Amino acid sequence: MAPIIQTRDLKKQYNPPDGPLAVRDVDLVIETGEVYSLLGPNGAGKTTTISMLSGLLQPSGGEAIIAGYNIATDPIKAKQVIGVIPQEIALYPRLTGRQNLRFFGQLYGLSGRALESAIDEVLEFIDLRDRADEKVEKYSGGMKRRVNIGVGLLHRPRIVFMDEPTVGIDPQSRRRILDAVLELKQRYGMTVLYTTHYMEEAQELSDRVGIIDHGVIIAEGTTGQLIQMIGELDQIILRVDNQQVPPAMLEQFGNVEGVTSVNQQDGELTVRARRGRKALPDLITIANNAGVHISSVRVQEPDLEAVFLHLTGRALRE
Amino acid sequence: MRKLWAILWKENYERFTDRTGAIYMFLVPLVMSAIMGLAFSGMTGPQDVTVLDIPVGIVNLDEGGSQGTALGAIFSEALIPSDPASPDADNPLHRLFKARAISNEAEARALVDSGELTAALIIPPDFSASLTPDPAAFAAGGDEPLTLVGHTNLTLYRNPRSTVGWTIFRDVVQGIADGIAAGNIAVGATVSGLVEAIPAHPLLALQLASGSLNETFTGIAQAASQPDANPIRIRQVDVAGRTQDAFDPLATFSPGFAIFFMGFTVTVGSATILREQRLWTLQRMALTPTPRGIILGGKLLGTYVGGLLQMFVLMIAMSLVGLILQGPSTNIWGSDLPAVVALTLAAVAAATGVGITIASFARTEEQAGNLAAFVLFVMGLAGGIFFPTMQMPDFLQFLPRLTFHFWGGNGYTILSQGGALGDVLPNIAALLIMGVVFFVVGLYQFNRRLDI
Ligand SMILES: Nc1ncnc2c1ncn2[C@@H]1O[C@H](COP(=O)(O)OP(=O)(O)OP(=O)(O)O)[C@@H](O)[C@H]1O
Ligand SMILES: [Mg+2]
Repeated sequence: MAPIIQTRDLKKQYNPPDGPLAVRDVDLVIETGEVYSLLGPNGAGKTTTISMLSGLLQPSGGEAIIAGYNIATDPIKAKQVIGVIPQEIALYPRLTGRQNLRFFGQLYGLSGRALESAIDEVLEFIDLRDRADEKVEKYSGGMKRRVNIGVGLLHRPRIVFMDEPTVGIDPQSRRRILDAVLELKQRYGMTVLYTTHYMEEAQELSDRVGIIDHGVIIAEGTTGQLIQMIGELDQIILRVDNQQVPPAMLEQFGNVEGVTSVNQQDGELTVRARRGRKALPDLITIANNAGVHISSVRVQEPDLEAVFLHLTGRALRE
Repeated sequence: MRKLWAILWKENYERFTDRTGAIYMFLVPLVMSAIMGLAFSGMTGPQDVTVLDIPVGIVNLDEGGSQGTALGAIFSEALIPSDPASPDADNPLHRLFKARAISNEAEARALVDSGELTAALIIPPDFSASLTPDPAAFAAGGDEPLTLVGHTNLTLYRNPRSTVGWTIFRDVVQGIADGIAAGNIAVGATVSGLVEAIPAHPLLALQLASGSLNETFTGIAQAASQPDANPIRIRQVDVAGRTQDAFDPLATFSPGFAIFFMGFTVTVGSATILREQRLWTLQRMALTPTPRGIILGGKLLGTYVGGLLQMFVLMIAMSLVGLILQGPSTNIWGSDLPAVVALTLAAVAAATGVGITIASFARTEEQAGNLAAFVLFVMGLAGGIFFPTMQMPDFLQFLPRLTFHFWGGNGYTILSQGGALGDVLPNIAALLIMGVVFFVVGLYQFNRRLDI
């Protein structure tokens, strides 16, 4: 089966000929039912990419095929199968949540009973039934975000583009949104293209992650593949405070399988190992035998943050 | 189509549920015109209250009679001072009327029509000839008695808004005509004697107006002639005219205020494109499978419909204010409904075009608001919303004609003074042209700037 989203050499230059190249030669291949995350810092080109894929922006070059439709030549058909949840809260503040849903539902071609039942279903999904008839301007940030999501789902799209839907909201609302994304995939079989600069979100939600920086996808794959790719090791941090640590004990640490280095600094022992959790019991036994009391243990596995750091030399969030 | 309707509905739902907006759209123009109505209410009443210097015109087309008689000239001689610059203060007719000779009938009619003259008298070419015996018949001899040969018609054009002034003129003309018919040319002096008393006694003027003094004049005539045989008939023609002496403050100010504030509504309405761009709702609309033309068209049509709704609501509300302040004689919008509707459709179209253009030059909604406040205020000033454009010097008279305020306001004035659709066609045409030109400029400009 052909991929549901496929791009070739997608480019965007704002204000040509001198404007910035926001996206360069992006080739995306996303299969039906996948959750694919574009992970990148501010200004990486995430919104620009989504805007081109959804037919809002004319690409400066290349092409995008969405569900078999070329977005440049067949925009109306393509838009019918895409639901976009923009980064901005794109709602009318003086209209109620329900009126916003109804208005955009009409623009998606829904009407009558089909429209009303779609609205009810969406309100259920975003858990906003009881406040649906209040004006959006009275909503909390989290509620606005949820309506913002709801508008993009009204017409039951096959593909959902979500552009940083969790920016600036409380942890509880954020949790709900992440659960909703998983539900879209699992219950409705939707394909989700998700952008974020939170690596935990990408890591939790995605089947695959594309890391984007300066308009270029610099790495792509499952979280595991990406981490493996950079060959980064686990770190085990043992807190010993200001006890005397016998040199013999450190030597024994070095002999544990998988361990490559041991460092002592500021009352902490940092042990680098290929598979940290496996080495941990041995390390604790050795310390006990040496009479050194360990007050806390932390294992840091490499994450997408580390991958990004490794690839760019910069942190994902500054 | 359904999508267009959805956008149109949304536009106006937002517009008319906004309380601040409603204050500017309805309350402010209403209160302003009510204040003007009250401020000028001392001068109110659609009638000429002055009995002095009633402006009248005389068109003497009389070609003379067989024996060199020029009876038509009697009217001019009685009414028009020999030196118009210094009228004879002792001649009561000269104090009562400001009469002038006019060379042709069309011009006289136009002057009455424009309100410059209260009335005009037209003396026909055959006036003298009809009233003097035919010398040929006389020369041929015969037994027949010498009689007047026929009838003749004097025509009086009348501005229907004028009441007292008109009646006085008609009675004076009648008196002179009766005198001529009776062969008593000197009767003019008698009429003068009677009229002399008028300026000093307004009550007398009103009696004269109501016709109760008519017998006096008729009496003069009767004394000298056989009434049944009076060969001079007076035919009166009402000119559907505007008049300046009829000052109706609400009719003068209300349409202008309605247009002025409607201009803001449609400009702010057009500028919501910028707000929607900032809120990202414009982009969101563009993300739906809806053609771009429907989105922009729906928004602009929504703005147009909003302006129309505002105008119609204001028309009704201002009429009610007029009814309360000035009574049932107030007629702000005229009585030709199709004409009022057509003029309003055109005025709002022109304003919407201007509004789009203003908004298209702004970067943000706030900028559009500031630009609108400036441009629309200047246009309102130039277009005669706050003072009559006739007070502008001649070389600036082209200025008002560049504004929809002028063409719209002028159109409503024509209609309120009894004009019909035909009379405001030039206004409608000017407004439509303005609408189309600005619409094209504005849309071109928007299209260039709006990347959706
Ligand atoms: N309309 C525009 N005109 C000019 N430059 C733009 C425009 N929109 C975005 N850019 C530039 O293009 C680059 C990519 O922007 P984009 O919004 O796609 O990034 P992003 O990954 O979505 O960032 P964020 O996390 O801040 O949303 C940035 O350098 C941005 O400044
Ligand atoms: Mg973005």
